[in-house]
Amino acid sequence: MAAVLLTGWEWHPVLVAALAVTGVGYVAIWRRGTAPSRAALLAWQGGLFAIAVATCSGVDPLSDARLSAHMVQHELLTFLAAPLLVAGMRPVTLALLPRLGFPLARWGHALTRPRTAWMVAAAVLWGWHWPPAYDYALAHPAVHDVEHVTLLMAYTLYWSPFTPFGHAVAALRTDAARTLYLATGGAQSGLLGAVLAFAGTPVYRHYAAAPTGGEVALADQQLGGMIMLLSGAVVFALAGAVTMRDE
Amino acid sequence: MDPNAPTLNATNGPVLRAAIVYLVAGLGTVAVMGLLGVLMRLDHGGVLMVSPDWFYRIMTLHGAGMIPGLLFASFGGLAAVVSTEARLSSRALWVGLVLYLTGMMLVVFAVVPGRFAAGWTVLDPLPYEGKTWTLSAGVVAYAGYLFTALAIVVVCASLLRATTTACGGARRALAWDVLFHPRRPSPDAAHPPVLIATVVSIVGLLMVVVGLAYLVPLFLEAAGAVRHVDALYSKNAVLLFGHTMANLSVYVSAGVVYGTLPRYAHRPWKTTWPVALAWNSIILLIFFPWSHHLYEDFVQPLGLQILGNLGSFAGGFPSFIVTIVGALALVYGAGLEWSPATILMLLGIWGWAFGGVGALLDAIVPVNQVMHNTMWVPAHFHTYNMVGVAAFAWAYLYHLTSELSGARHRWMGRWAAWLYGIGAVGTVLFFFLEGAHSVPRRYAIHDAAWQGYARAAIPFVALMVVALAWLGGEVLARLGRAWRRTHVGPV
Repeated sequence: MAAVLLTGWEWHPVLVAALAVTGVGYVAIWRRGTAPSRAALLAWQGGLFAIAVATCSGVDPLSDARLSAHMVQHELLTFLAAPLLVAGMRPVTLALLPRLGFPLARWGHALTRPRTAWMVAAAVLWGWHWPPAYDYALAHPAVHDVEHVTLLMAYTLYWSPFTPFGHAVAALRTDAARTLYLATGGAQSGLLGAVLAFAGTPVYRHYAAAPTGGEVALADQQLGGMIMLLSGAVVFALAGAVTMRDE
Repeated sequence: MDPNAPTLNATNGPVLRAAIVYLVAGLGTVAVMGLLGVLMRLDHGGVLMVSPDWFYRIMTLHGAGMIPGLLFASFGGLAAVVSTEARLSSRALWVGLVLYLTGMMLVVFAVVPGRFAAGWTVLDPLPYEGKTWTLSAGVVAYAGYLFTALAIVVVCASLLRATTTACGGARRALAWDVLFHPRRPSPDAAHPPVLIATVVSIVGLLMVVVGLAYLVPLFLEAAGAVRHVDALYSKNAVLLFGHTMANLSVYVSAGVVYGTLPRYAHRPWKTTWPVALAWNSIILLIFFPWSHHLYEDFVQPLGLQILGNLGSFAGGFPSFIVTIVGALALVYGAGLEWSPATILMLLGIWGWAFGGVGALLDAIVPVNQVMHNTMWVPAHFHTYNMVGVAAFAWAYLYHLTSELSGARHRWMGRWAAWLYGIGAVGTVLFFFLEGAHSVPRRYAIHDAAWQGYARAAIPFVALMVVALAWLGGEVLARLGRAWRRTHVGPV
């Protein structure tokens, strides 16, 4: 799998252009900031790089044949790119917030309210892994792209309450709240991983119908579930270590 | 240390909040796992039929949930007690909690959807090849144990840092000034809870090293990097880790008693030479008794068998001679204030002593040859866990929420504490009777001739459940006010 991440890159022009514009635009805003944080810059560019790995590296074509590769792609978007973008978002929001109208800021606040963000992330994650939706996305590349964009957006919302950047984001203010949010968020995504890892039959028709046969599909599904379950556990534990504060 | 000093001071509100969550999460886990224990007991009594598949899954969850649940509840209590003297990092406590919850979540996933039922048995082909589970479930369960071990590292490291910083070094935190200069007065010697926090955190860190020594080879086996882990090595390592962890929760909760009982006895518990010696010796002695679980393994080296017998007895002395006798001396003639907290603490001391005697009997080689695979073993560890550690943790949660909320205890609370004691003692009594009559342990189906013991225990189990529900209700009623008070600070 590691080799796949390094080889077989396909440069989708629209995506590469979007990532480049976002990266360069960020640097421009970051340099104009009053106290530019190098960590924020690294986080943002790291987030963009994670998106590039998920969507342009060899893992993308492989995800059509293997659920485990598809899970790596989803984990890169939800558990790596999304939190990194959130960690680097502060200079952008500080620069853009004064220009945003009041209704937009109010929308941002409403969407990033922890309960809302949690539910949106859970609904999007479980919704796209519902077998008919998942199979449909694999059969239609445009829908597949929408799946990835919505997963990235949903988890960007999910991680947002950890970083207070003014009135446009509702923040988790106490360690107790952060613990509850992380534990329940980890449990809901972990449960989905466990369902896939421990299912006795292939869940998705697309993979079960592959020429390699159902047994290979089942073994690959178990691997995919394990990737989701264990990488999620590590990321949520790390998020705990990074976001807790001495009150 | 002034026994009447309030727990809440100007700086420790955040630590007390974390401590409350540790106590509630730990005891909540214990309550859920206790209900699973009730299911197993009903199955033993023939009242309810649980399939062997489910029985061993329930047993796995019960054991894997109970021991860390009791340990983390006790850590919460000790953190609260120590925070009155040492500056603990609330951040570290919350990080530890996230790791602990992640570990428990993985174990639950491995057992419930994953059907993992190997408990903590690692003899090849276990834990990875079972009739009902796959390699994935075994890996997830052991990843859960790994996260729990990491949580212990974080909590112990933070406790150790706090106590050594507060005392100006490890020597003073371990009360070596008292230990090595008994005739020289040491007015600023570490108080017992600080000494105990230092000892248990050192033990916890060493214990996790042992845990990693068996977890890493098991993960290598799962990855196919090694074919099999040596059976004798695995068995020794898993018991050295697991037995020490079970014992550690007793010592952590004892630290809570050292910090709380003096408040009700209105006398300080001083760091005398015997106290310093006993607790320092525990750093070594806690690592000896594990081997009494391996007397029946004929390939175990003779030296380790002897160590198991002598080590178990040696490990019992510090607790018996110093803590239990010390606690009784503290309360004797002190006009002890009888509240649910003191009743539960004294019950816990009894449970610790009685369970310890059961353990010492099991540690004698000829007795062990007959008793070890019987219900005697669950009898002794249920005594010191259910009647001992759980009672200590409940006592402290009741004490802390009462003190912070300013609520006074009522007669119903005292009755509930006594009834918990009667229920818990009755429950373990029938375990002991089963063991004495050679009823085997870890059997999913009990012969009709054995079922009477479990049936006779059911009223006591029910009594315990009702008493705990009452105590839990009282604690919950005070919890909100106690929590808010930690934000306000001392008045």
